[in-house]
Formats: sequence, structure tokens, C-alpha cells
Amino acid sequence: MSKDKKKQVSRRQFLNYTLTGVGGFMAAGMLSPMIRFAIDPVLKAQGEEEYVAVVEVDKITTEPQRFEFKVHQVDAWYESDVTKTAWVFKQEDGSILALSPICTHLGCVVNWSGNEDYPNQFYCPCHDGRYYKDGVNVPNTPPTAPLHVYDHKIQDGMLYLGKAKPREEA
Amino acid sequence: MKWNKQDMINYLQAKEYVDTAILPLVPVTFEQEEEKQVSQAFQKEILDIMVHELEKEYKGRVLALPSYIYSSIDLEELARINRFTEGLNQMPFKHIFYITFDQMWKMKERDLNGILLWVPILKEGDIQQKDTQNMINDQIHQLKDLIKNYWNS
Repeated sequence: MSKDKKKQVSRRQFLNYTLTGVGGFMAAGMLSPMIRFAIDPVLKAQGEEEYVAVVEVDKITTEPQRFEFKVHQVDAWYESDVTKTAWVFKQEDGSILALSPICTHLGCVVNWSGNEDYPNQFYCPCHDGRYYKDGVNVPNTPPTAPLHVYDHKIQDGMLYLGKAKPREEA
Repeated sequence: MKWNKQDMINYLQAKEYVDTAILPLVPVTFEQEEEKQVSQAFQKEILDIMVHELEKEYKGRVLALPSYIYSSIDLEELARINRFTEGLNQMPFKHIFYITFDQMWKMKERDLNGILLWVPILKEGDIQQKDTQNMINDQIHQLKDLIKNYWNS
């Protein structure tokens, strides 16, 4: 008896199932591109890192120089062009180092030889934090981590900078 | 630091390092000629940029407060602002800077319990113009120096 019941599907039921199924597929087919378009900017934002042209490579010296560049930034509601700065110089081995000027202590802006007493260091005016030329924090000053380093690449004689990232411990 | 959630959390954790408050004093009055209202808004716009830049430079030591709005500077207003300043003193902030383009505050400077930074700001102009931008940048630069000097004195 129960076996029979299980197998029984009336013509009305069968039609109902099929139509709901087909209708469902059609609705999904129509809606999914709409949703896709709606959330597209969200998907895009996580895309690849963007590099911005900053300065001609031959202008970079062994002395850190401050360069500004604009980055397009999207925060929740606002889209804006934000000016970023980098301290850029050639290291002894000829490679280029681009340091973020943001103090790793509480986020003030550091300056190269910003204090007369420490002419060859980065200096933070807020709490006397100091960093050596390579961006490593001087022990016993407030910062506990080195300055972040911008990803960089060189193309056609121009220096391009990407995101500033915490330095990997050497 | 700014008056937003994340910065306030950071501020409360690093309170001993943040000893400076910046309070922009902004006049908002409607009972005057239209062109004056326009220049009031324009000056406020530039003041915002200045405060933004100061905060960016000295993020770890400065709390930039939202604008303090008033319509006229009378005895009542002076009492109100000093009560407000008292609250800042309790936080505690060692350095309290008012920053404004309203010269009427300059006349009342002695009655204020904080340091008044009066910045003469253009009454009209175009913020997109290079000359205007250069001038504002120069003012910002001087303000940065001034605050640093107060810290070191």
C-alpha cells in the first residue's frame, strides 16, 4: 500500500513540478545577470594591485627624497583621489627602496633628517620615534616595527609604486 | 586622529600619547548678506582642508574634533566654549588649539582657555586654482611648524 502511494504522482502534480522547475530556471536566468551587474563593483575592487607612476628613475638619488603621488581610493561611501607620499632612494646595492612615511607607532608622518641631532635617520615629530635609513626602527624609540615598504616596479625608466606593506623580517 | 569610531578606539588605547586637541571654530549665521554666507561656507571648506592636513601629519598626537559651531561671540558664547574646553582639559589634553578664520575670536583671545590659531583665509576664490592651492599649502605648512614649536617649547 505504502509502496503504491510513493509512486503515485498525479498528472496535475507532475505538471506543477515541471512548470515550477522550468519557471525557476527562467527566473534564475533573468536575475543572475542583474545581480552580477549590481555587485560588479564590489568584485572589481578586490582585483589586482594598481601601480602608479611616481618619478623618473634617474631622478632617484642615494639620499631619500620625498615624492607625492595620487591614488584612487574607495571607502564605503566615498570615492576619492588620495595623495600619498613616499621616501625614495637608491640603496648601496643599487636597488630602489620606497618607504611609507607613516610612523608605525601611531601614524604621524616621518621626515628624513627631521631632527638636527639625527641627520641620517627618519624622525617622527610626534613622539621622537626614529628609523635608520633602511626604514628599520631605532631600538628604544616608540615605534616597534620598521616603516612599511611600497611595492615597486620599473618600466620605461619610470618608477611605479603599488601598496605599502609591512616589512618582512630579515 | 579624527572623530570617528576607529580613531576613537585607537585614541582611548593610546591616550597618553595624544596630548593635543584641535577644535575648529566655525561661524554659521543666516542674518546677513548672501555673499557673506557664501564666503563663510567657502572659508569653512578651506578650514576643513587645513585641519585634515594637520591631522594627517600629526595623526598620532592630535585629536581633530568636529567643528564647533556658533552664531555670535558674546559673553554667553564665551562661557559655553570655556565649559567645552574644560571638558577637553579633563581628558586630559595638554595642548588645546582653537583654529578659526573668524577675526572676532582674535579680539576675545584673552578670555579663552586654549591657544587660538587665527588664520586669515581667503574670502573668495577658487579652490581648484593652482595659486589658491599653493597659498593654502603654505599656510598649512606654517601651521604645522607652529604646532611643532608649541610642543617643543
